[in-house]
Order: sequence, then C-alpha cells, then structure tokens
Amino acid sequence: MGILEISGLCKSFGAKKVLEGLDLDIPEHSVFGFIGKNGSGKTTTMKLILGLMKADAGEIRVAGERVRFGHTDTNRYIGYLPDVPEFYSYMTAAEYLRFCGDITGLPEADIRTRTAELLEAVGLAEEKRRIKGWSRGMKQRLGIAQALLGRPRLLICDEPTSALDPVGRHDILEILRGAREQTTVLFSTHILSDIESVSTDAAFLNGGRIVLSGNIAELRGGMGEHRYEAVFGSAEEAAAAAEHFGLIPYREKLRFPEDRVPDMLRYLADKGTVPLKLERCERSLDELFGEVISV
Amino acid sequence: MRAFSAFLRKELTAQKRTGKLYILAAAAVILGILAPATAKLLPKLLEAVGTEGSGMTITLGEVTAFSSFQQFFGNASMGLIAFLAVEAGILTGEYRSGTLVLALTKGLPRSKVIAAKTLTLVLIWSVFWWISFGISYGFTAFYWSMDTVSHPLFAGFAYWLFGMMMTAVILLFSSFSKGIGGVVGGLAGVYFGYSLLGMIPKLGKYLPVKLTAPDALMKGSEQIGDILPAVIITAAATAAALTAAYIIFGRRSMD
Repeated sequence: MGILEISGLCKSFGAKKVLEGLDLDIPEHSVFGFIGKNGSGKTTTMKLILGLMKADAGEIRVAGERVRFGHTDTNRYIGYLPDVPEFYSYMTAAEYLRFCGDITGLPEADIRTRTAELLEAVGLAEEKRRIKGWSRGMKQRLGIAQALLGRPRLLICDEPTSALDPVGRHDILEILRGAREQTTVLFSTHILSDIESVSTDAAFLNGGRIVLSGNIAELRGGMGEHRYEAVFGSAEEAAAAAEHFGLIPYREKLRFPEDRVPDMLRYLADKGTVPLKLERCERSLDELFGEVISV
Repeated sequence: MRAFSAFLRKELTAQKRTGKLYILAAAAVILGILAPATAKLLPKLLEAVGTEGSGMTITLGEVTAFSSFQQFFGNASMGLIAFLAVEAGILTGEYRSGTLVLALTKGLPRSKVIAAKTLTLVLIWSVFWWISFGISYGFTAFYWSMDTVSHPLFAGFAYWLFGMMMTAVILLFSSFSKGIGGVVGGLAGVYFGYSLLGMIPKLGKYLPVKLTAPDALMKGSEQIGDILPAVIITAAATAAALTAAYIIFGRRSMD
C-alpha cells in the first residue's frame, strides 16, 4: 500500500475538464516528481489531496484513510508547501512555527526542539525579524520548515523552486533530498532538471491523466529502445546523414534509434566520414516529456 | 481545544500587531466623548456666535441627559461603520493572502476557524461598544440628571445586539465571497434592505434597524416590551447568519 493512492480522480471547472480519471500510487520514502505543463492540473490534484477542493469523481487515500472534502483529518499525515507560501507577516518565524505546532497538536517540548532544529536546517535560526518584508527565498525556507514540523508521512510541495534564484533552488532541492529519509515527498514542477536531480520516481500528467509513471531510471530506459548520438565534424555532415536516414539533426549532432546503428556504421564507412563521437545516450526527462506529451 | 485556542490567540495578536485594536480603541474613546462633549459645549459655542454682534439670536432647548444620549446614538452609526470597515476583511483577507490554506492543511478543522473568527469579532465589537457607551454614560451621568432618560442601558444593549447581527453578516458573506467587496456589498445590502422594509409602517417594529433608533424608548413613549420583537428577530437573524456561515464555510472550495 502506498502512502498516497488516487483512483479515477475527475475534476472540472465549468466546461473545462482538468482531471479525467487520474490514477496514482506513490510508494513510501520516494521523492516523487509530478510533471506536467502549466495548467495541466498539478495544483488542482494537490488541493484535492488536501481536501481543499471537491472532486467530481474518484477516490483519494492518504495512509489508507479516505480524504473527505472540507474535512482536515487526513492532513495530519501531510506537510504542505504551496508554490507561494504566505505567512502571518506580523509573526516571527519561531512564533509562526509555534502556532503551527499548536494547531497540529504537537507536544510542547516537541514544538520547541523541532522549531530550533528546523530553523537551523533551513538557515533561519538567526532571523528574529517579523516575516513582513522577507524575500521569496526566505519564505520558501520557512515554508519547508512549517511543512516538516509535524514529521509528516507525506510532504507535498507545489513548484517549490519555480521562482527561486539558482542558489535558493539548490538549497531547497538539497532539503527535499534530505527529507526523503523521514518522509515521502511529492513535488510538482515543470523544471525537469529538478526532478532529475532529486526524484526517485515521477509521473507525467497530460490531458487530465497520468500518461507515464514509475522509477526515473526505468522511465529513461523503458520508453522504447535506447538511443544513440553521433557528433559530426560539421553541421553539413550531420545534415547529409540526417537526410539519408530521414531524421532531423541538431547542428552537428544527430540522434537515432538503436536498430539503426548498423546502418549508420555502414553509412559512415561508405562515405568515409569519421564522426567526432558516437555514443549511446540516456534519454533525458526533457525528451521523455516531449515524447509523452505529444502522444 | 488547543487548536482553537492557538487560532484565537493568533487572531487577537493580529488585531494588536496590525494596529486594528488601537484604531478601534481610539474610535471608541472619541465616539464615547463626542456626544456628551457636543451636548455640553455646543450650546455655549452657539451662544457665543449669537452674541458677538452677528445680529443672530439662537434659541436652544434645555440640554439634558436625553440630549446627550440622543446625540450618542446619532453618532453610533459612525462607530459601527468604523468597526465594520476595519473588520470586514477578517476572513477574506486570509483567502487573498493564502495564509488560511496553510492552517487548514495542518489539520485545523474549519469549524474552529469560523468559531475563532466569530469570537474575535464578538469580543472586539463588545469591548468597542461598551467602552464607548460606558464613557458616554459616565460623562452624561456626571453632567446631567439621569431622570430625563428612560432605559439607557437597554438602548445600549439593543444597539450592541444590532452590531452583533452585523458581525454575523460579515461572517456570512465572508463564507462565500472571494474578496472584501462581497462582504462590504453584503453589509450595505442588509442595512439598506432593512431600512427600506422599515418604511412599511406595520413592519418597522419587527426589524433590526429599530434597535438603532432608541429615541422613543429613552423618551419613555415606548417601553422595553415594544422593542422586544425587534430584539428577538435580531437575535434570531444573528444565530441564523452564524449557522449559515458555519455550514457554507465548511463546504467552501479553497481554490
């Protein structure tokens, strides 16, 4: 049983169908990347998991318990970081975490120790000012801290790095990577390199359904056959080979499927062309995304 | 209970640290002093204007405790508007900023949110109103004999109850409105709706707006029994608005 199980989830906004029978099963202690174009329904799915919106059909279970719209019972298993976390600006970070601990029902002593630990972990231990005027990055750090406060079994992050500078992004990804030891992370993004750097599993959302999901390594290797890349000495050589094989080159590079390798080797020998490089290449999530979205 | 206490504490801290508490405290004091001060000083001012060679002769009736209370209840709508203006966004402000979503995702039941917001508004309105009424009452009793005014405390209670109903209206319209505009529109709609209905002679004594015009009660031409229908209807409307707010908020989509 996964920590999060979704079956047949449907949601429309007026005539616009956002989710059309979404199924998802997230294994515990994974870092699960939730990939989709803007407006594909990632945030809607998360709000449905949190019981903030009402599904038209389908079922969501968190830790085996059914999520009910308007009720917050299952949220005791969840830590949530929205894309733009907003806090009570008149509080300090420590006050805010204390407030979160109280409404979560954490024991007093636990609130104190967790607050100190988490503020240290996200680099806000020395920050005593009220939240008003904080930068986006600082708020994102506090957002992670509040989400992890109650030691949730499931941490849901909605585009946690989308508006951060490279340093902030790196820091947040490191925190998410570290969180895997204690919890399961579900995070949505359209920045595929973020998924590649921290995720163990991923699911692609398109047309209101999951069109592909699984372990990242398996996804890269499992979608069709392996691919090869030849790097030619010039763009003209690449274009000539591309024309011969009916492929599209990218500057002096040409990618082709594994079953064309013998033909390519024969072509190179016949033409007396020596490529600078010929290697098997791993399919990137960018390519995979392009392939599944165009299916 | 702990979650409710924490959320209530948060609400009261917000009132203090965002300055709302100080604005309303100042408004309450001004409202409380204004009526007796006006009743005391205005005749002297007008007398001075009328005698400084202007040729005008201003004749004023005798100023009494009744005049002071009449002035106070005349000004009270300004105090109520100030309170409503400051507090109308108590829930919609949280929708707009997204702060409420984080609290709900921590397992805080929606019923506790609406209960804490209700209690906060009740506390703030009650303290605001009774401070202002108390100041006015104290000054009036100090300067004039209270023999000229009937049932001033009941008149104060009746206006307080009307304010309670308007706080319930804030919560009701906040439960389904996206922004503060819907709440302000709702408050205005309810007030003017009642005022229009009040023009129907037979209906007037049953309407909540009756509680905002206690002149006849204070003059003694009406008794408490004459006001009771409006009191009962206002209390029922308050309870109905709060119940509806509780139900609607519980089913509201937080998108």
